[in-house]
Amino acid sequence: MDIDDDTTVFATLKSFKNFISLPDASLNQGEPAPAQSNPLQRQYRQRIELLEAAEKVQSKTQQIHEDQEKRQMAMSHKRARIELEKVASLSARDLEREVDRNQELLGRIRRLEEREVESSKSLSEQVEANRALRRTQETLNLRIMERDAKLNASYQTVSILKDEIRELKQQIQSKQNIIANQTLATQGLQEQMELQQRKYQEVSQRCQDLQSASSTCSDHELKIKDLERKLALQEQDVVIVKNIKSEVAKVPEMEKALRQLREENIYLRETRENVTLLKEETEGLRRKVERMEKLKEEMVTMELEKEKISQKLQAWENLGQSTGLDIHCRSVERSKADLQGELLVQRSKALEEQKKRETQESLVRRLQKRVLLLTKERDGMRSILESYDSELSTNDYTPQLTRRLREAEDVLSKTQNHNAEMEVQLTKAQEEVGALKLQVQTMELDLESLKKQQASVAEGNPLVTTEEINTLRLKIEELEAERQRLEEQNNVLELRLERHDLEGDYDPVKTKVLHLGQNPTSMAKKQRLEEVEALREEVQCLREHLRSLQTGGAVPAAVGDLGVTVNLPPSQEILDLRKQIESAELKNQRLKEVFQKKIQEFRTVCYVLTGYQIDITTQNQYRLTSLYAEHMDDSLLFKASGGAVGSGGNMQLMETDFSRTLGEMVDLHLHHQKSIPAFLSAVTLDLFSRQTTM
Amino acid sequence: MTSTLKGITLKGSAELVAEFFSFGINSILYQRGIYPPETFSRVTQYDMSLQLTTDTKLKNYLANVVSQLKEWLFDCTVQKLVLVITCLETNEVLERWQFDIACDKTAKESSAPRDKSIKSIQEEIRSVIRQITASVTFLPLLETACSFDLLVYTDKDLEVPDKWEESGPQIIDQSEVVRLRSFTTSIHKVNSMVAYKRSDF
Repeated sequence: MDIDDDTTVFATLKSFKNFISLPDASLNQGEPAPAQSNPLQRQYRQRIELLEAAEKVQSKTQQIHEDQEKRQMAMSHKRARIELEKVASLSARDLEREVDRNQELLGRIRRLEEREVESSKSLSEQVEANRALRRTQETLNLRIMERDAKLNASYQTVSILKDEIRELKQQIQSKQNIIANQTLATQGLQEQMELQQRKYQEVSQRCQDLQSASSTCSDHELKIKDLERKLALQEQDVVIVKNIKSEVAKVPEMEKALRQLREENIYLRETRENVTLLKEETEGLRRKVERMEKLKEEMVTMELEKEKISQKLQAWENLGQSTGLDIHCRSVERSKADLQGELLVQRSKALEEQKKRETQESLVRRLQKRVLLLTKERDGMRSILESYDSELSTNDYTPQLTRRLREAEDVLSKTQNHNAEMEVQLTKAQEEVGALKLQVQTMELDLESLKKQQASVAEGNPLVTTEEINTLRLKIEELEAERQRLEEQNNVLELRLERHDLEGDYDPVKTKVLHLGQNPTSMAKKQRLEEVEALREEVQCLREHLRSLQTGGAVPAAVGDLGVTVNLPPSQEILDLRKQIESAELKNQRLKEVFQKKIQEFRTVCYVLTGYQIDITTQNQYRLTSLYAEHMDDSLLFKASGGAVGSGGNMQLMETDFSRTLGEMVDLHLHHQKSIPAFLSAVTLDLFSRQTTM
Repeated sequence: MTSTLKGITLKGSAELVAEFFSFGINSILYQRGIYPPETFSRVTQYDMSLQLTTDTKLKNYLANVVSQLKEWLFDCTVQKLVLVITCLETNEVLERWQFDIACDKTAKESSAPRDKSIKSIQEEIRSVIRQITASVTFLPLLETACSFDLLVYTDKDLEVPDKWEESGPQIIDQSEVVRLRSFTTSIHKVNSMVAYKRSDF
């Protein structure tokens, strides 16, 4: 800085000097000036000399200053150099640092440059990519353009096509119309077709009909031929049928014959059966006869025994006629009856067995008959079949034959059913007949037995049996009626029994009724009785007690016989009460006497002192009779009104005969003076005066 | 005891029937008011609550009768059991509860137990006792003081035990009879019915 200042100082010095020089020039030039200005010039010059001296001085000082300044400047130069060196070092360091930095920066720069390069590369690449993209864009754009073009073209085509479609639609519509027309036409044609087809069908039908007719004609012709043949056959068949009819006509006759034969058979069989039965019966009878002979022998022996026993009986009877040895005879008779009963039972059994045998034999015969019939029928059928088969081989009339066969079979089956029914009826009839026969036989046996009994019982009295039968029948009827009655009675009695059983009745023969002796009812009854007795005793006691009380016997000893312990406690109370009562009564009596005396005293005192006897007649009415009354009846009546006299009621004089005679005194004393005592005293005075005077 | 056995024996049947009678009689006494209701206590039997008397005298009496009845049931000699209700004032029989007992005598010979479940027997007994309770609806009121007696109808040839004596059937004249349900143990069949005096209104 100082340098600059120094330089500036020099510059100023120079300039000053220059300036000074100029005025010298100017002064030199100014010398020629007039000597007018010689004072001035002198001053001027003095001044300039002074100035120059000053300037010299100044310049010297300045030089000194400048020398000082130079030294200072040198010092400062040195300092500055040092500082500059320091600064230089510093700056060197800074430089180094900056160099380093530079290097770093250079490295960075390189890197950055590399990056730049890379980025530039990338840039370039991107640029290339951009370019490529742009190209692609361009291509795409081109394509888009192309497509747009295409679209447009397509739109155009679409529009064209739409137009074409419209046209086509129109064409279609037109064609449809055409088609409709044509369909109509076709329909018409179809109808015509149908009509024609119908016609054709009709025609065909007619043809067919004609053909069928022709065929039928041919068939008819054939049929006619057949019928002619059939007629021929039928004529033959008619002949055969006639034969068969004749044969069939013979069937009922045959049946009748059959029936007759069967009946004959039955009859024969029955006769045979009867024969067999009779044979069996004879056999049985022979056996029976044998048995009877045996029985007879037994009977003989029995009779011998009986005779012996009868002898014994007679002996016994002769002995004592006490015991009932008749029992022996009765036993013999009973044995006889038993034997007879056994006989009957055995006969009935035999008959039953016979009947069974008969039925079985008849069944067997029936079965055999059926078998024979069936074989005969089968043979007949076989013969017919063979005849028809033989006929078949010559002529072909199978359906008619089958029909005939069926008819014949139907007829056969009907006849078989008829036969079966007839056989069933036959069996039923036979069974009934058998049963009836059994009954008849049993009846006959009973009759025989009865006859035998009758013969055994009453020999030689055939007439009596019928009468006995009648009587027995009557008895039977009567017994039946009684039985019915008894049944009804039984029902009624059973109902009654049931009812009674419900109520609790019982059959004394089978049941008895038990109960415990100590049962609640009996105990309750006992208690009741005891209570009743106790109550009665109490009642009696109380009655006697009452009587004793009523009679006045307050002493309990008189009642002692009834039970002293019971009466003692109440009698003490009674005695006390009686004593109290007596004392009370005594008191009452004494009081009464005292009151009487006092009242009497008072009344006499009143009569004597007042001169009036006051009697109370009725409630609130008082009759006063004066001491000096002339007549006994002369009395004054006063009535107390307004309650009792003691409470301050008013006394009024009532009308009496006597009071009428005292009218003046009444007016004076009662009406005017209103004083009853004054009136009364006036009356006494008056009466007294009358008495004394009289 | 009978519950452990599979079937009913004669002895078991007799016990069941005697038990039924004991409870049935108690129910009747309670329902008809023969004894005051406060003398009865509630017990459970046959799956229902029944009344049983607590009066010792009555208990003893019933126990005596029922034990003897059990013996007779075992011997199959008893035909009927009748509970007679008499009015104490008039000594008239007012009601008669009759139980007919039909015994299957073949059970005496064979000792094989019969197949009948105790539950079904108890059901039947329950229905009978229910009917007895329900009979209150139609039986006339017993307004007067009444007492009862138990009669047993037995076979004629039966030996009369000690303290037992014969008596009349004590039938009600003009009675209405109502048959009640019956039950059977397959050895004994008990029919119940009640007869009461027709009350003329």
